[in-house]
Amino acid sequence: MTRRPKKNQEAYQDPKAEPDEQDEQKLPAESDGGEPTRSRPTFRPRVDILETQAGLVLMADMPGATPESVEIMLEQRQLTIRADVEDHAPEGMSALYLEYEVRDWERSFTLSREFDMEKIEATMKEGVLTVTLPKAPEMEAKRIQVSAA
Amino acid sequence: MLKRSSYSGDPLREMQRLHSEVNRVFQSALPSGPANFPPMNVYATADGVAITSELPGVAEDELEISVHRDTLTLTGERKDPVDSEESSEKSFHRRERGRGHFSRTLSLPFPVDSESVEANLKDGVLHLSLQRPESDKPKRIQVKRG
Repeated sequence: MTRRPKKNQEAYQDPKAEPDEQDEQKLPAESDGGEPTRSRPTFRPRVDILETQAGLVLMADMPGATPESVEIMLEQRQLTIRADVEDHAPEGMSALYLEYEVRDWERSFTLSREFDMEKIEATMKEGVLTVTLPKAPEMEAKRIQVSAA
Repeated sequence: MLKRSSYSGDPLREMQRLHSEVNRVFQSALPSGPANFPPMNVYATADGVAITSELPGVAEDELEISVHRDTLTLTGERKDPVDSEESSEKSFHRRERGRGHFSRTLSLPFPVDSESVEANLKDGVLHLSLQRPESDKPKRIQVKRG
């Protein structure tokens, strides 16, 4: 007999809800505004954004993503991270109890202009993406002469 | 009516009940992280169970897996990024990722052979394969012609 797996119905209900530390359910996709390359719903990875003297460090939990599957795009000031994730359910086994779903990851951020866009670095380790954004050298202050009319 | 046990007859429901019960008992006893980390998916065949779990940011040597009869426990630590960054001045713009110690116990539908557990942690996803001991496997009995 095969039993249909029961999924947690409440997990993905409120897309507006702020991330809650106590409840670590996956976050729903950010918006419908993006253009996913696959017609599959995505999850929004949980992130830590840490500012240091050197710049910003962005860390995103993206289990299942590999260095090859991660895509980082920078367009104007919009930084988008995404990763295609293959379902890792074992083949030929029936699901008994399911607590999470596997979907692609996607999230966008708007950056301020004070970063050196050429020097952005990214690493992927243990399912965590780390993006380092170094601060741009300080812009020279410009003095604008006001000429008398 | 004689009540032998609270077994409902539905193995799935029974497992969920046990699972929440064990979680409740352990969570109240131990000061640890959120009750639902790490999330686990459980798959079964007649010979054993396969479990997958999402553990982003947990290194192999920081994860402890223990199996005792029909109880599986995952214990470990998710590093706080504050500790890994060397710079002294730092502030968080966002802090959504879970961190710290976690411990979670899951009741399996049957006892498993703790000697034959296979575990593989890759890209933040744990794959566990647990075998039912030979002595505990359901046996097919041949019916002889009379």
